[in-house]
Amino acid sequence: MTGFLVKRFLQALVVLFLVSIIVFTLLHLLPGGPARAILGPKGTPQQIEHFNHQQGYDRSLPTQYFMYLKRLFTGDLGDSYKLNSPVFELLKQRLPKTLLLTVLSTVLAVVIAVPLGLLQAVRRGKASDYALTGLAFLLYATPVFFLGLIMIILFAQVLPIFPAEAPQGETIGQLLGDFTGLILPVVTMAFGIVAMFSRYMRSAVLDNLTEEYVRTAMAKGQSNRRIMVKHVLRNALIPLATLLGLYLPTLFSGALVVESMFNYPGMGLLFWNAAQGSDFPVLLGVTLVVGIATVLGSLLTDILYAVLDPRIRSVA
Amino acid sequence: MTTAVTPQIPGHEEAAQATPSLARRTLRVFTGNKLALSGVVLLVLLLAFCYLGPLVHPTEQVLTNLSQANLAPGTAGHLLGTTDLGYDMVGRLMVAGRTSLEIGLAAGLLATLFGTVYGAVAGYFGGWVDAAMMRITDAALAIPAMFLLVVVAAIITPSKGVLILIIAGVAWLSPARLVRGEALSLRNREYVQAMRMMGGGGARAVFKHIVPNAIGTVIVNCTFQIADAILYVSYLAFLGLSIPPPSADWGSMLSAGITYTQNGYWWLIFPPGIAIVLVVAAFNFIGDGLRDAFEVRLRK
Amino acid sequence: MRSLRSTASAALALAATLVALTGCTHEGGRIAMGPTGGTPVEGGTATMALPPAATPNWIFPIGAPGYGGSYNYGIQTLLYMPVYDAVQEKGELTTTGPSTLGLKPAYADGNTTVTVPLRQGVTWSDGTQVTARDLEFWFNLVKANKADWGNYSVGTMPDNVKKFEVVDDHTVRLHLDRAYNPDWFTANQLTLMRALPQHAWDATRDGGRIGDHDRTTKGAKAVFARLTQHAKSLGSYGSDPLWKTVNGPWKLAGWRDTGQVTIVPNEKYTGPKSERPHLDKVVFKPFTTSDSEYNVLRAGGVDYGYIPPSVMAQKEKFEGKGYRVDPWEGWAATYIVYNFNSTHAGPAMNQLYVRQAMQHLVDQNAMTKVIWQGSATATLGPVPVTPKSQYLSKEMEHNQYPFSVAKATSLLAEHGWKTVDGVARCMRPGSGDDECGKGIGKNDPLELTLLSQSGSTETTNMMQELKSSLSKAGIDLTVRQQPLNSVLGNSVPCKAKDSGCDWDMSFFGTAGSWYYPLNPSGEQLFSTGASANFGNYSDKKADRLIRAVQYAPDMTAVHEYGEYLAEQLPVMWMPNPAYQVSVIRNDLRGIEQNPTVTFAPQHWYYVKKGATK
Repeated sequence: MTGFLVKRFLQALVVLFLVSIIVFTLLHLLPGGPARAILGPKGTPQQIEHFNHQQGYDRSLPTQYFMYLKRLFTGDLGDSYKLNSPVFELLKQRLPKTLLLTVLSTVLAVVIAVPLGLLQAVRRGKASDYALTGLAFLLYATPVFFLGLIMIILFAQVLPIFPAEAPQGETIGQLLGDFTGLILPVVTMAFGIVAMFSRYMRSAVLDNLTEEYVRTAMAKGQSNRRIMVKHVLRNALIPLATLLGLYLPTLFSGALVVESMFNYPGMGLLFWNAAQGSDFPVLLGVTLVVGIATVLGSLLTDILYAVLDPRIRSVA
Repeated sequence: MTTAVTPQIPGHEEAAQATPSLARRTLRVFTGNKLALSGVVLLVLLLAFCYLGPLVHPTEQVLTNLSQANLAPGTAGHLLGTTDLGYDMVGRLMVAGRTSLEIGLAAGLLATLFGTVYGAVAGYFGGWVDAAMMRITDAALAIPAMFLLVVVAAIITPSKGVLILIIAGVAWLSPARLVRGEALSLRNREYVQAMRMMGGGGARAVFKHIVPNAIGTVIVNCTFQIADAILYVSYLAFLGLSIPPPSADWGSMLSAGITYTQNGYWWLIFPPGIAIVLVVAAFNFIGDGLRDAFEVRLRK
Repeated sequence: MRSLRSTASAALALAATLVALTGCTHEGGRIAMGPTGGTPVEGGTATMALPPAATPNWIFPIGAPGYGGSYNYGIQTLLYMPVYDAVQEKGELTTTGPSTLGLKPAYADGNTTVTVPLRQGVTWSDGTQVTARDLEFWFNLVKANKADWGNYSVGTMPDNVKKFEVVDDHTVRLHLDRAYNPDWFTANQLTLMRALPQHAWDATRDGGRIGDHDRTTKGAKAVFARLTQHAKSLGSYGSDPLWKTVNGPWKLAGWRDTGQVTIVPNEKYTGPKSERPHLDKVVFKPFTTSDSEYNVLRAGGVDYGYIPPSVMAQKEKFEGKGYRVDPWEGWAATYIVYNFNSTHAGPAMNQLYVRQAMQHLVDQNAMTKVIWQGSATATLGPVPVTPKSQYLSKEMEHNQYPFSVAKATSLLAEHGWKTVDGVARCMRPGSGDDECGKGIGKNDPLELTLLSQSGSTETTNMMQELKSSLSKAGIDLTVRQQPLNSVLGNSVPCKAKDSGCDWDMSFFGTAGSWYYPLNPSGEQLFSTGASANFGNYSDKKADRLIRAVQYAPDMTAVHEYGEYLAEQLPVMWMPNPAYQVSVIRNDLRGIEQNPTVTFAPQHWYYVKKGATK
């Protein structure tokens, strides 16, 4: 197990290093650099030159990258060009908010998707399976921003039940205090995930139904319900847990869209705004944090998987 | 009651054997899947709408007509009303649909092609080649696609080709990983082993054996890729990156319509939105049916 | 099985109930008050929405490059009284008023010196007098740190001041490097001056002794660095004692790192009584998108907000709810830049008749009415047509190039162009009066490429409309949409035939192309080689007229300049969008929407129902 962990950890480090290179290179493909975006049409050539010199954009790309890495190792993510704050501070405020949104939506999605997937698997080939499968695919096929828009039109305009804007509080407590504001963003995001999860749940349950031990249990005459809960559901939930780790990037993608639609002050919105204003240090910082989260997520998933699944444990 | 639990998985036993009847059985399973069939029907209808529609309902889609802007549905000659520049909505949906479908197809195919070759090469060679190639895909996967697209949208001047490249650029990872998995298991199969012993070249093994054997996986994945690519087109439009006007795609129509959410101009929002949902769902239905037919477990 | 299914449906039902339980109505209440009448009351809080992506992020009145946003300046002037500012007096823009520290400046010695008298009796919040020394402090800091000052461009302030003389405690005199047009110098140069609390800020390090450090270059650099260091910590603005010494009508109560700024009346304010705040508190709230602001506005979350132009059609809805809708016109010009050095289209661009034909094809009225839903005004020349000002002559209010496809077509035909297969081609090359013009070869097509800012439906639609109407005269326009910074990065001044000079036209005016300081002189835009003359426009007469605006002693210069450039079309004039379409609570009064987009919340007050005043 330790050897496996060390290996996975080293892999994760390599991946993170590559992430930073990819993002860094991508950002620096911008013609003319960020100076124009920051200084606007009124920026004089002298100011642009001065800015580029100050920020090191007049050096070669590898030099800039190594300067960035060097600062990174001292925990310095740089300062935002637009928000006049250290990137680290911004992340510290925004990350918990995005986590809140994603955790709430994921929980809601799992609560809906697990029974839905079970139902589909159990009713395989029946009309209700087709209907639910069809519905799940339709949900999957709906762009998150379109879904959010429908939510806003239906529940904030036609029936003004919920606010169309997410809460604007500074702390998690304040956000939760304004719970009605969280509903539309959380539901929008959850619906996007439900489609994936229920589909997955369905096939995981189907897989398990064919397993030896289920057949054995059935042969022994155990009740269906007992079989379902004790064997099938439990074993189907294990891969679902791993799925969560793998879907972390998708979750963050969804958070970005949902946050910008509902003006939710999380990391996605921070990133969105930074991209509009070519705020490179923020873009780099957020991507790095998201990358770390994803890599850690899949690392944890692997470990979780090894711990949970008796078959894997016995092999290890 | 018990019937529900009894597993009935058609085609399960046949999957591994490559018999001539496989194609027929596959077709039978596919056509037995009502969702898959409705997907095919839906897709055919949408294709007919986009490509044959303009013959039946020719409209001006280049020159603007501000005096006819934002007409409500039902206005003479405009079944679905007009856009904010006075284009007929029905006609615009047809033209825009072509772009969405073409970009989606091209990007989906390109992603599948590149991903397949990448995965096959990594899987066949294994060892450090595989490790290096897979770390690259891990890194790319660790950056959420939307984050990449947001950055790209902020720095790139869009055109049809550029959009195809961008979408393929984020989408190739999943076929790459799938095919690599297949390749890893195939490389230990006897015929590939045999070829190696006889000194068969790497490229030959990859293209002669690994790719054809993974073809089921690839075809099914490709269908999903196309669906995702069409979704990506709409996301890019939402981020402000769509092909330049007067061309349009469904995504750009939808995101332009969003501007008018508050005005109640629903005909600018729902038709393109529903069109996206329908076409993406159709491809997914088909993909799902194909998967059942090929009996390959993909979304694992 | 039944039980399993019921578990599943129970979970679904639970999720649904969770969603339903927490619901409650969030639509904002109606304001029961018309736009006039009522009794003014003291006190109350007003929340003002800032435009999308306008995040106040700089408190130090010397703006670093990139931190010069109008919202920053607007907030700074509430805390630190401006010396001169574009203030609105009875609808006219002028440079002095009750809110300015400076009184009317006096020019002498053939307009080579200017004497600035300061208002007497104004004190900082710690009781210290505001004196000429505070202006000198500013001057010394700016002079020693030009490169780090966002407003600096070569040859202007502080380069054009040979000597900064403190005459007495309340008078300074600037000795200029040449004679200037007094109006231009006051409007565009003296308005950059600030009075900064020298007695509180003049230290080279935190906790260091306050002294005359700014009087040496080295000291001024150190002092400036220290102040900038403090300014670079947005999160600390609210608590940093440095920013507590103010002389304006307001003081800071909070500055969140999201950019939300809260101000409360400065109880130590000693300026003119008319500038004393009525409200207890004003909150400036930033938003990311106009949609999110709109949702908050609908819910009654802001008292003074705005709607996107596309919602103008819905303005009755707001009026019915007790708001007034009032487009805030900006002091700006909006245009598409022509690249006169363009590798392909340069020769055509250089022909006035081609530019005239193209201007005739810009249907500004239809664009304004349909695309901007009435929230934009036509640009007819370099001088803004609205609001009216002393800079505008009668001549300039007249559109010389009204929309007319026929006129455009005949202008082209007269000069030897013929439309073949939908594209105009030059049939009579040469530089005669009825020929295409220098550098245009036989059969050369009129094909142009336009780099246009992406991300705005209105802009996209304007460009589509333009493309459509240009095509009616055989001009083929290809619109390439790019993010704003790419447009700005790609349309830089260049030499003909250089690799970066293959762009023909460029547009970055979704929020107005260029906001002027008070005097719309355009020396940065239209004089040969100027830094924001992206299209390399060069015209000897224009250069001469622009110089006259800056240096000649009378107002006729600015009229001549405005009329000449309106006719010469150095750029393609486009509809100028309002700074924002404001939506204001009917019971919130006293709001003037200053076209230079500053705010004066000290004049705002609430009214309640009752006898009209």
